[in-house]
Amino acid sequence: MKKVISLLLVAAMLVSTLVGCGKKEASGLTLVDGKLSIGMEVGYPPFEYYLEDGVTPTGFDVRLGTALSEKLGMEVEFVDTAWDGILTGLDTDKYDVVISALSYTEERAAKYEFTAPYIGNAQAMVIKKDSGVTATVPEECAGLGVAYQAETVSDIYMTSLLDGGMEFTPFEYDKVMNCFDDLASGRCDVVICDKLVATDYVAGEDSEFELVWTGETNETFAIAAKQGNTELVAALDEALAELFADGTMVEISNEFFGMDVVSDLTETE
Amino acid sequence: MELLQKMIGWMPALLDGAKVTVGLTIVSVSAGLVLSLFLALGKMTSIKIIRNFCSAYIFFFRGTPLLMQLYFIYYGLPQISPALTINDRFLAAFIAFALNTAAYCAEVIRAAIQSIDKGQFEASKALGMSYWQTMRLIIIPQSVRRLIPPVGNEFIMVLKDASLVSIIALSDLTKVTRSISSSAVTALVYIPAMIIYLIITAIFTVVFNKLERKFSVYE
Repeated sequence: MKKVISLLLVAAMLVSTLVGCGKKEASGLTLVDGKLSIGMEVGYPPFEYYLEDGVTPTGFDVRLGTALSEKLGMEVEFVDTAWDGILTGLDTDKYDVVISALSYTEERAAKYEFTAPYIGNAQAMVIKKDSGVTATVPEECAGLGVAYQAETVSDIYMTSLLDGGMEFTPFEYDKVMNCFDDLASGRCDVVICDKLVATDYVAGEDSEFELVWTGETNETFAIAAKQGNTELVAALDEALAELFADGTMVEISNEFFGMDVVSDLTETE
Repeated sequence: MELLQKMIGWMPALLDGAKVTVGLTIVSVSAGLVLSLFLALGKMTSIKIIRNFCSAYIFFFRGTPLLMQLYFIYYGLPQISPALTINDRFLAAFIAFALNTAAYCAEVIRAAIQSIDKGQFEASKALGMSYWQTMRLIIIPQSVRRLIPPVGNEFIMVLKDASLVSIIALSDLTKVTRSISSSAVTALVYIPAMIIYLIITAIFTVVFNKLERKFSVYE
């Protein structure tokens, strides 16, 4: 008798889980109705980082995510995750979208849905002031120690130089912040990173870093969603267009960059 | 077949990573063992200040995460004083791992020494041996066999903990695997990587079993 009851219970649980799954697929745009869950690698100033308290995320992407969810009439939730594997989190339904200074690339677009771009980006090269490094472009970095964050566009850029036969010592970090820690302590000679991140690090009179090179603005950041989730992407695109139209984007840009770095992109679109 | 070909293509990079992993494990456990012998003896000495220092050392290194110790040695020390900057990544990892392993091995060694029957000490004393003679000729040779299984265990733990070094941009086997996984957009690279880990572990297990048998003669 006991066996029969437990079997029935197991069966009931299985059925309810399956039904639950079905429901999730059928209704709503997001994993949890009325809540936009955003995956980001917090620790990438000024796009996403924690306030001094260490628990409250802030930054450009955080403000953007909040503004978007307000437009959609949803609650917002930020999921801090490692950069490495951040897109895989979409496949495994850890969050609805990735808003994490994510560059649009064709390889990524083949596997995930992307919204329209929300900011333009370029690669940049930073050295320590008075370090005696004479290289002024990444192509001149032969023989130097070059730090960048793993699996980023900077990584792709420098790896292509390595493959092209240029000889330098690559240092791949999990966090862009550690690249700058190492540059400060003199354990690497240059950091290659996103221009908007570099701008933030060299800002201010007392910065120990110097921006020596910025590449062409030929990449854009966009929001990624799971493949096939076109409905959510369409809704986000609409909300994003509204944020551009009502001046919210410029406002956020001013807050984190002290200038308008988003309008240029809309003009070229 | 295609998969097999891919896996063969990944091998050189994976083996480069394995070299870092194995190298770091061997040098840091070896150095840690030497240091731990002094810590263990220090913890059993009657000189209070040395005993307290060794206890505090072991408490600290066993009581805080290795990840944090590595982070602190690499990123924290230079911010305290630039003179404390360790320029070589491998050296920084080696220092962190050796200091950490020493704390664990010290307790293993102390336990092994204290497990030797008290009669052995008394007999040595009766023969007129000094403390160091007793240790060197009688106690340590006997405790070595009892040390080998837990040290082998520590070895295998460190082998896997070595994957922490990616935070200081050292490319060990795990880091290389993750890099391949994301650039080749496949998680299948974890299969050959885990096989490499298992082969390394198997080799160490055989070596430690042999050592254990060899040192059994003292018992």
